Amino acid sequence: MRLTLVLGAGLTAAFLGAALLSFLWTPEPVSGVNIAARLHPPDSVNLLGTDHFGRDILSMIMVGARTSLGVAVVAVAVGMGFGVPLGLWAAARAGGWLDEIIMRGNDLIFAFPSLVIAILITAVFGPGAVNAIIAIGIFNIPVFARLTRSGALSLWQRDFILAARVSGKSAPRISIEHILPNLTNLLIVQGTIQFSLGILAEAGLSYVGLGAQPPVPSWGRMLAEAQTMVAIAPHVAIVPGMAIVLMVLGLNLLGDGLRDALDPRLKDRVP
Amino acid sequence: MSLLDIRALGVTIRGIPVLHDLSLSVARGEIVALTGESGSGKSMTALATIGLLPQGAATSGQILLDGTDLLTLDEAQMCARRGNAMGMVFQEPMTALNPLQTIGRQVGETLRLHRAGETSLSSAQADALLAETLARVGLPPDRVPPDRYPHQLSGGQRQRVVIAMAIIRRPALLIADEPTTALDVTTQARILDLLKGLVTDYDMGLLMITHDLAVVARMADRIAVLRKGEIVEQGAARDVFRQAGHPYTRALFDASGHRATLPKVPQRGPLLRVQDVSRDYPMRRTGLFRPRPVFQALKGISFDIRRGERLGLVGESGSGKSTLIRAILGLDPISGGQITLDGRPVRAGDPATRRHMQAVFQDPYSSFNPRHSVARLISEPFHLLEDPPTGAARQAAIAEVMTAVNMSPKDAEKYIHAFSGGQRQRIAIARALIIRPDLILFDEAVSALDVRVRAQILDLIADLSPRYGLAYLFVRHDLSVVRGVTDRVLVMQAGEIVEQGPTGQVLENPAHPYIRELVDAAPRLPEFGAQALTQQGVWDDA
Amino acid sequence: MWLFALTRLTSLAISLLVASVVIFLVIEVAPGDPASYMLGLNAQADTLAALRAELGLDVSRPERYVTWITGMLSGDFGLSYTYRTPVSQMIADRLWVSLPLAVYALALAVLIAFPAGLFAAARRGRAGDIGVMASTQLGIALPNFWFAMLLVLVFAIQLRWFSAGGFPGWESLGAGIKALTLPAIALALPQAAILTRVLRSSLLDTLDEDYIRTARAKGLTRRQTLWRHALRNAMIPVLTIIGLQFSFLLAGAIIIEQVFFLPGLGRLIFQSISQRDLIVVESVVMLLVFAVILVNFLVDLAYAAIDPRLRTQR
Repeated sequence: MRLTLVLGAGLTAAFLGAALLSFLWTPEPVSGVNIAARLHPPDSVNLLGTDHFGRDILSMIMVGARTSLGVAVVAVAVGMGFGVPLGLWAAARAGGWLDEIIMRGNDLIFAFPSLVIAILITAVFGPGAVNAIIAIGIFNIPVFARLTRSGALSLWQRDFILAARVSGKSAPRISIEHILPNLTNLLIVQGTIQFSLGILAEAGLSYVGLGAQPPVPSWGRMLAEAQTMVAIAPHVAIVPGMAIVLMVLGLNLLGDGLRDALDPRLKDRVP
Repeated sequence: MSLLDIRALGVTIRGIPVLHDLSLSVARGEIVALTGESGSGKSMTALATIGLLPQGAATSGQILLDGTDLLTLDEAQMCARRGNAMGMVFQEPMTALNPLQTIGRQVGETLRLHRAGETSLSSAQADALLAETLARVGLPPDRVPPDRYPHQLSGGQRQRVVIAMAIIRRPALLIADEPTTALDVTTQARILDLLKGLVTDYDMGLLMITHDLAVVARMADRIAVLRKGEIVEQGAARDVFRQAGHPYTRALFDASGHRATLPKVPQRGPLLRVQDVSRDYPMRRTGLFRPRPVFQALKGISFDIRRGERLGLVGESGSGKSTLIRAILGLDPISGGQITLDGRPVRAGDPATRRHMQAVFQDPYSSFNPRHSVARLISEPFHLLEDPPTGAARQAAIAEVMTAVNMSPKDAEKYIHAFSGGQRQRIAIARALIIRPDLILFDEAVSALDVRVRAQILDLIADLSPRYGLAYLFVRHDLSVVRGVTDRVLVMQAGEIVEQGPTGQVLENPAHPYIRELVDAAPRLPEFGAQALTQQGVWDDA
Repeated sequence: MWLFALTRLTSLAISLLVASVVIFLVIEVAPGDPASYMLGLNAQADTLAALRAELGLDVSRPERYVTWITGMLSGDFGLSYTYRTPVSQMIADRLWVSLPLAVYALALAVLIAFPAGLFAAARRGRAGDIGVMASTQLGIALPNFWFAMLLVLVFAIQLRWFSAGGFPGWESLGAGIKALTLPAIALALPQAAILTRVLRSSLLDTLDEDYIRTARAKGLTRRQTLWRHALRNAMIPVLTIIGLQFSFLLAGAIIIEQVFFLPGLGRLIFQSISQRDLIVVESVVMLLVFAVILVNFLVDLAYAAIDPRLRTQR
């Protein structure tokens, strides 16, 4: 199980490192067009080959990681930033009309698959990375709100919350002081899961042209452009796909590893 | 020859020994009680016998059932014996049944499962046997139809279903693991009677696991006392109770019958007044356009607590006592009546009245935020003060209450997971004391503790009251223990106070039939035995 | 049971109503007037007014909403701005590709996930379990549209077992199913991985319940308890996921249709966006949301069918 954590953290760190490094250095510039070197298979010069404009795919992947990670991070932050307070609020007023409104609102968002939200937003405001973030982020809100609410509800039943209430503490104060710190493990684990789903969603949106627009490189659009060339130069399609798989795999393994490492059932046991 | 003969049984779980050299036998028609404190390995003995030890367990020794060593059998052979040659009843009836299947189907499954080899049992006969068994355990099909689901039954009825599943094949051996611990006193008595009757009727051997010596005294022919995986004493129940040989057994007996010495204190004017308090809960609609039915949890409760008074509140589950406690603490609103402390109404947002009141709860393991230090935990009630002490004054206050509950002030720097259940309950009392309240509510505060720890906590409570001029409300699900720590007692049933009066008088001379039933139902420790038990009292499970 | 169904039906109706208002408002705030977009920059004022009247754009917003909603209820989704043909007809044609694809994929996902999940749960912690769990990790990480490209590369381009895309229609049932097979596999596999994990962990949670121990004490073998007592109890979270997955598959189908050039709702919606045929976008989105809410309603009913605690009123 430790292996899961190490492997997950390693893969995640590698992509994060590549994305950060790309701000300073890439093997080749990604803006140039070099038709002479187009569609080269991987060799010692271009480790992962070149695309239809002769750009170095490794460099494209590094810069594309920026887009993927950036969109997913902000989307998770949006989801947590709105979802967690809403969930805490709903749990503190469990059974009341506020709880009912928040949860019904969540159900409503769930009725719109994230891609449909993205389509709506694009239809109105036009495509772009920011709109992709909004679409994925909105979908993350109910995920975190529900998780926070259900975790908080079971904590509200615990005697230590009762003790805090007997000490005269208000519901908002208890939520922040006692509930939230005991939910961090849960939120970290869910955060990594939503992060990886965000990367998949961003790739999907970019693939159908609703995500990051040229010239910003993105893994999804690299795949879209590769589609017509898959028969002649399979590496153009395989490499960006592998990048997505490894990145998502890394995050999922990290999430699983963290869950095992942070499992309260293993940790809270009395010696 | 004995029916069940456990010889030198050893069990380890992932290398950690839990049972060591345990030898025990049960004959047909005999009830053998295996008793001990939590963690002593009682349940592991039961699970080893029926072959359902958790993963990672390794066994040594022999468990002979009718001469066959169960430890040498393979899984298929064990399956053929489980439910057939031996049945088992578990502690928690609320979760022991599959919620998605009717009780008739679940009981009948034991029958169908072991019928394969017997062509003689027709399905009509099987149905008759099912009906007969259900009736025998007190669930006659005309009153409790077998097509009911578990959630439609009470806890006692569910336990009867579990018993029916265990005995429908008339096994020679029945194992019961704390079968009545989760039940109310009156239900407990009926279930114990049922088990005893079944042993006689079917000439079964019963291996009964219980931590409750009063239950042991009521049921057992022979008893074995287990401590840390080893049997320290066993023999005929009568002999062991008359003359406990081992000091540990004696300590258990003493603690079970323990009564704190309650010093006489002058009781001054009224402190808490509860006047005609009611609380209604809306229930789920039964029809779309029908009005919501209302459940009356409290129906006009009135009583006083005077300064320095030690009042007991007794009620079985569902009697409304939890609702009442929450109302007194100002945590939940009330539907009618008034609650005043020192003449001022108790309200949720009013720290002025609430700072005179604190509470200690039942579960020492969920009473503390695991992420805060003990010092931070016990100083939490300072939040109620307008001008809470800081710095050295705060340290001194923490040190003082830690000392008052017989803990070291240094313990305040640690986190809660470093402490045992009994220590945690002391810390909970320290937290309640720190703002010097006039009244503390002890909500089942000793119910989760082993008898010896319970005795210490009861002594501590009795001792603190005069020292701090403290009144308290000691809430309990049965009449035991209450006698030692209260001057006066209230008994609640179905949202009403059915009797109140001086504790001794209520226990010895109850006027209300419900109290009489409670008193009669509670198993007693025998009068003989440990010297401390000079007077017959009412004791119970913890 | 009827009360339960009735309350769920009410909440379904309310959800639909709120969702329709949200969709309508979002489309309403979209910049630009469809009529002037359709006629170009040099349109005459009176032609424009005539077109606006024809499209029903000359009345107030609440009126337009009511017209749209009542029209939808009677199957009239309005006229496409671009093609001036009934939107309902356009959607109906495309639905016959998208809906079978989503159902096909869901069926495949369930068919793969159930044996795999049961197998893994029965072998908890052993090699078979670890193998299944490792493959599901990979499955979850797989972007379905990329997986689709790989399938095309292997089975259409290299092996030539399937065509790389397009849809021959339902005149020949076999040809239609064949054309949807690769897309369905691409959609189903990642979902099957998720479903396998949910089923396994739900089964394992259930196997830790007290009543499983009771069942074992009756003499049931491990396998018998798994089938007779654990599976049904473990179904509730699994059903939730299946419900969520259906909406995911409908949306996922939109992307997969791009890979295989399938004339489904996905292509319709992208085409409409690029032509600013917002009435089509509006209707397709509403239809998708309706499908999601309907499936969740059915899942709720399935809960009640499984769990007697939800059925009986106290």
